[in-house]
Amino acid sequence: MKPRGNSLDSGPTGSGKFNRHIEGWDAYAVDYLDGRLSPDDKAAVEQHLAECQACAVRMAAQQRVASLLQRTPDVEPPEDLEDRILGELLFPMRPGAEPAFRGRKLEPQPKPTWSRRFRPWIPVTAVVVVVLMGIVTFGVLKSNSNNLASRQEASTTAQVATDRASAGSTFAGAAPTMTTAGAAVTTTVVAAATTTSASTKQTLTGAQAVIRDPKQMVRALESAAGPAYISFQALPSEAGTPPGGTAADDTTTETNVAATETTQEAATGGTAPAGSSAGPPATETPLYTADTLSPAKADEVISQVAAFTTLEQLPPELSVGGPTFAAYVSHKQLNAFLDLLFSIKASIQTDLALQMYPDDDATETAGMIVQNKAFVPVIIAHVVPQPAVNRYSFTTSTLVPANQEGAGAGVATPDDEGTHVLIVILVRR
Amino acid sequence: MRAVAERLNTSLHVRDPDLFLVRLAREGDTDALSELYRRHERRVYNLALRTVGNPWDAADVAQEAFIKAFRNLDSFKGESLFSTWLHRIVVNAAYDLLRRQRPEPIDEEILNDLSGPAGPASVVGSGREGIDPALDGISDPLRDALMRLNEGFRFAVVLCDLLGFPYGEAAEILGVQEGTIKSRIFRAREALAEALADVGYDIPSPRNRRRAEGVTSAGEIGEQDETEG
Repeated sequence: MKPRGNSLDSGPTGSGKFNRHIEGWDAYAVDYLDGRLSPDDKAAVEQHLAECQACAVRMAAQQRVASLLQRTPDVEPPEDLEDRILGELLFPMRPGAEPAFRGRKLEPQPKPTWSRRFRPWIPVTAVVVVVLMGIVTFGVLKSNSNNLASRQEASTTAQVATDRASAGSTFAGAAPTMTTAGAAVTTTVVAAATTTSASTKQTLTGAQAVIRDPKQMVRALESAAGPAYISFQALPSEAGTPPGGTAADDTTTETNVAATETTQEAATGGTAPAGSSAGPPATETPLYTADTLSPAKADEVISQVAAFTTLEQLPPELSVGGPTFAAYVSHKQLNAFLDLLFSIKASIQTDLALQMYPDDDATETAGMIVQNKAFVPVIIAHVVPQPAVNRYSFTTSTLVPANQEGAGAGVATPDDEGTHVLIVILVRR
Repeated sequence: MRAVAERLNTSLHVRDPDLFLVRLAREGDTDALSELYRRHERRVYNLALRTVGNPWDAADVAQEAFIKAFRNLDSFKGESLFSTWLHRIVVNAAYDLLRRQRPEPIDEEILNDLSGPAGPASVVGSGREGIDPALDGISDPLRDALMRLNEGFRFAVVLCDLLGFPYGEAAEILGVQEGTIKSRIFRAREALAEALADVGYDIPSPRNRRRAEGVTSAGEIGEQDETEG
């Protein structure tokens, strides 16, 4: 059937397609390199290559170029691209805004659909983050405090503040002057300080510093010294008392007083944490008001986390207030891992929040996790070549074999080496 | 647990994993919109980057495509994967930009000229020399060689070899037959091999071999070391 032993010049026989030179069966050549040919066709191709030097060279060139291309790394998109795109979508009629791209302007569309569940994507938000972070970092540096706890508290507080600030800038969005204030940094800072005040106060009295922005999460996790706690919880809108959601309205009245407080604190940010270097200020009040998920959603979260990370739930005695997972994540793979968590968050519509401290009533359990941390698996992300809407798959590996209970003592864990961070995933139900 | 994982994975792969997010986004859920963006930003941006050749235009193309897609989510009927639909918009935006940069019409040659990579007539100068490698991630010769390819070939090889799209999806994105995609990839690789061999890459040059069959220095084929200039 197949032209075994035929030389090229012996004319077409049987399946003659491979008797021609390689360009005569170029699609098959591509399939050949992918290993997709039927055994018969593959044999016929190899037969031809063995007898035709020119085609063998060309096939080798194909392979070299293909592997060169396939090994070429992707490039990260520009950081501001998302803001530009979503900003343009959400605020198409921004007064005084430049046309989004050269040469033509998309017709503005009515925006009501998008403004229903507001999350502002105004460039101003980014400016606020940078400015506030700048202030706090500066203050911390000046204070020459080597107390890590207070440092973390300081920076996470700032992040919460900016979170709230962005909620506040919903109003800024309505006021044209604010949104166009790209250059007027001073104005922005004032606005930020104003909208920040309420939440900062709240942070100090009630809730613990919570991070929701993926990029801020990565930064916080990279510098985390201890375990970090990421919770899946109900969206603020579904919870009985949304933390900070409606607060913006109520607090505008006390804005003036509070703003002064905050600005002072920001300005003297260096001295405050240093003075109270004994520990985070808010330890005595409940650190977090849990917004619990409905059982159905919680189950969905659990099964997706388990399925996609291959992690197994921690035993009940190590569970922090509900189903709990734990894993070491390499600093280099934080993006991949958070991508996964955020995609679960979006598909099940939950809230996702990062805290650097356990809830107050869970301190003990959290301590036990730390004690047993040699048993926590390392999670590894693999790039999935294609079809790859999800770009990564995950596997886990354990430091201590599961059957050696109690053998974990003295094992050096990857977080001690500073390459990984221990992440505890909580499902609030 | 493993069984659950497999079942979930299978079921997610069978249907379009973006459908649910698209539905939420249509209802005005900005989180879903953001997640849709995040799931596709990297491939969209890289498709734009490798086909238009420089990061500035690539960002414009990606932005234009995402905005167009997100504003027209209602016209996505689910007849293809969302990813296919989205990347078709990106390809169109990239073609538009290239066309704006270069006055000559190109449709004819894309569709008809399968005789080989286009000559100098279709060279698209990026006009910006010395792109920071951190912005680009590939060597100058490879980028230049890619940009010298006929656009039809370049889009095929970028989609499949660089970005890992299955041939079938690439065919759907570009609106041609799967066999055509493979054929274009073959010719694109061959042209790239020649261009790279010319500037000293350790790649056997098909052109020289074709001209001087039998006079090959067989050693070169055997030397499969990993250098790449």
